[in-house]
Amino acid sequence: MRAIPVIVRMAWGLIKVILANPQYLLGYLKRRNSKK
Amino acid sequence: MRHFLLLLILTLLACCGRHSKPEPLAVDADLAARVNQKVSTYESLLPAHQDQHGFIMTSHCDATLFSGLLGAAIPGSVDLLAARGPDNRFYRRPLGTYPECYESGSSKSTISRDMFIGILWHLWVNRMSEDVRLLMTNARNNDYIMGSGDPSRISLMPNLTKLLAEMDYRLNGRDSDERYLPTIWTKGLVDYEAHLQVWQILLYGEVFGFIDGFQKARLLEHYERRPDNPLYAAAWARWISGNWNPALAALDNPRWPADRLPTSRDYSTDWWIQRDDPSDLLPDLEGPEIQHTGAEIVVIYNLIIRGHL
Repeated sequence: MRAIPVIVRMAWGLIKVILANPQYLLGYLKRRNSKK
Repeated sequence: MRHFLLLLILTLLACCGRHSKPEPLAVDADLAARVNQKVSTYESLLPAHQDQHGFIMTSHCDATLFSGLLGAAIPGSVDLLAARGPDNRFYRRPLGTYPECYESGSSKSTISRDMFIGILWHLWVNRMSEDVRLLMTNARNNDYIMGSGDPSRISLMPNLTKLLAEMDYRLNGRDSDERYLPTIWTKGLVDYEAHLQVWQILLYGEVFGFIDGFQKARLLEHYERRPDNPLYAAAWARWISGNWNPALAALDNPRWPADRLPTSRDYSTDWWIQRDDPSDLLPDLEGPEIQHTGAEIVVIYNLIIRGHL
């Protein structure tokens, strides 16, 4: 149970950094769609 | 359904157990002496490949990983903090000495989780408690984001965070929620990812004093997949079998010559132990001859084997 706040903060940190670097998420989605 | 649940519980019990180090079995004394001599030779030749901070392989953007391991294997040989910037973040190479990898476009991020394997080994073996404290505090204050660039590379994941938190607890007595994070040990990794996984499990073993069933399964998987890799053979001996002879035989391989450092004529890519692709493992007989550091031999011997035979 003690780990849950840490996991939430890790997820939040990751969301923040993805929002700051949207090109990586867009690049990933583009690659994923081109494979289909 | 009931049988399934029973099986699940039994599997979890079997996997979550603590596995201590096995008793070492008898080793081939001649083989051990030959490997010991080879490691001494390499240790004496290695400084030619080190820069003013003791770093090796600085033309690559993974220098902090390899140099961190070397500084753990030969304490005092590497000033790892040269790769820590004024913002207290670690970088891939010493700042001010080489172009920063992310800014110069050589890498997609200023740091990666790979680097932290070398950093944590170095901090733990050299008992750098204040630097562990600083790293843990910085990780927590920055939501576990350790640099700039590609998000998938710069965020500490639970496995590394838990390890760092446990180091902080053991060295500084600071308990934290991060110590209670669950860990996941992915099956089927190959190449450099497998290499990193094994180094990470080995450090878990050093810090906690035991490994769990999932970690043990990964060590066994990598040894069975590549018994000729001295890292995997040494990890298998240390935590599973106690039989050091396969690891010593792998280190005795003439791929790493006994009287000189290896070159691209012996195998094409430096740090042979992190590769699975035959084009990296085989000699390059056509290109210019490049001398390798041979540091992987010293690191494996000093960190895993020495003192345990």
